[in-house]
Amino acid sequence: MDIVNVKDLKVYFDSPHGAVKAVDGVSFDIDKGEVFGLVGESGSGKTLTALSILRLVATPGKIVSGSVMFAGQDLLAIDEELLRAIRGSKISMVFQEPASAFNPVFTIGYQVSEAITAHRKMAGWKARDIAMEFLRRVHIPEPKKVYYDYPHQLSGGTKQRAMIAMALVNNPELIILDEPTTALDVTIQAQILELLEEIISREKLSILFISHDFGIIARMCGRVAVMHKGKIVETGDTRQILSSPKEAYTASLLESVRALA
Amino acid sequence: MVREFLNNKMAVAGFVFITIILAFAIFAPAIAPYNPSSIDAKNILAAPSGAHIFGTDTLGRDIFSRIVYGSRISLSIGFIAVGIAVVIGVFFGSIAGYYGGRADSIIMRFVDIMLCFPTFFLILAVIAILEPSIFNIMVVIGATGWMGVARLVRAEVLTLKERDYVTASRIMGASNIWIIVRHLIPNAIGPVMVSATLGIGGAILTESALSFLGIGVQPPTPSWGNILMDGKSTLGVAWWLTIFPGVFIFLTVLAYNLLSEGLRDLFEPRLRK
Repeated sequence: MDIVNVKDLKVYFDSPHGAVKAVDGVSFDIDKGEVFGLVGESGSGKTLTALSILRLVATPGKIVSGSVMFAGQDLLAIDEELLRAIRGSKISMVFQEPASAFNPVFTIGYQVSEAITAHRKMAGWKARDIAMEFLRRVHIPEPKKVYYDYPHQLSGGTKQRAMIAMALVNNPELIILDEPTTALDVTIQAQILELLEEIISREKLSILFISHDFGIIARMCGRVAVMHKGKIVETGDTRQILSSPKEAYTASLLESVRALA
Repeated sequence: MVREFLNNKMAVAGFVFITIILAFAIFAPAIAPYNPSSIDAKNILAAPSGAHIFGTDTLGRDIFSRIVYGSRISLSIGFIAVGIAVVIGVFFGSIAGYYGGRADSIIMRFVDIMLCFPTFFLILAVIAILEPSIFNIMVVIGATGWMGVARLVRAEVLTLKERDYVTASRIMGASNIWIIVRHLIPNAIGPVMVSATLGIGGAILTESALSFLGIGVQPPTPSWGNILMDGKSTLGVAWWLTIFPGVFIFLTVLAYNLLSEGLRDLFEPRLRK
């Protein structure tokens, strides 16, 4: 069963030289419990596609057409209020840059608890207990201490773990991971990928995994869509695409990775 | 951060002086040697001495006691007027910066218009229509002093709203109001505090000027401005009536300016020499 179904999504940016078609007719669906990859070079429209699912495209970008079916409703058509209830509770997202994804003036724990109380009414101490439990689940050492730390006091890896905890706290049905390891160094990257693998297999999450790194995609995703210039050029089983790409662009993208390695 | 502040001697001097004046205001009855309104016909215009360290005025009232009690008026007008200005300024500034577009244009043009008025004459006119009570003075000074704060907050919000944590918060389901109140304003408050501190000095000065012109705080309530005004007619024979309140106004405003500069260096280390 599909958890999300994106159909003919178009996101254009108005410019003096005519519309820039950043996302141009993208369609894909993600099964329940599936890790679906979205791969492509920088600027191919991966992040914009993800943000469109939550209808968070910033001006001057505009969702021109398409539909995002989620739990029986079109997220691009429903009321903003209804959408806010879905954001962060049914669908959550982890960013590329853990350093800037937390507000510097509040503690980590406060921000994680806030994600809980934004969607569920409960006493502050209860939210705190849940937040600490999730910080523990993402293997943050000393979650009780980290809870009261400010973002600048933590390493990038720990912050990204906290970001993942924050994305998990409301037991979402879909998590969007937008290059979750790109900003981290290689050893931390491996740790975060391990953590993600562990969580995905344990919680049976549905994931949209965005990356430009075919190695990571091969490791994490069952199916993958290759994006280029706002269009999906090829979708299919990851192993199949890796071994015998149908499209010339996919082949050249793979070739460039091999050339580097 | 505290140590950095302590290294700035001028700012510390300002801070210490403000603390002393604050102590004057809070513990006025304990510090003032006389009742500020008690008239002493035998001691009219007495020069500074052991009994009256700052001398007495034309009604024999102790100047030092009046200055101590006057600090209550001057400081509370400073604080509350600036408080009002900060609230209005933060409100309009954050809305203009966050929503942009038409809201921004309307608010910022309104700010431009407000800035075109010669503020002091606007205050004079308003006070002349309303009655010159302490409350009215606070409100009018506050209502004419928020434009700088609004511009400052708008500029801060314009850059802050592009930060990832704002998007992150929106992805977590936060509303616009929540983002403004919980994410943008707390991050923009540093420069606002700097300008507010400077503003308190300005508000005290405006209050003194109004009182000096006789449309500020009304006698017999002592404020630094109206003590100064009392001294005007006797400047030739009793210099102490003018000099002491004048020095207090001067030092307090100076102290706030120094403190403000110290705070700015603290919040914006790039400006340090």
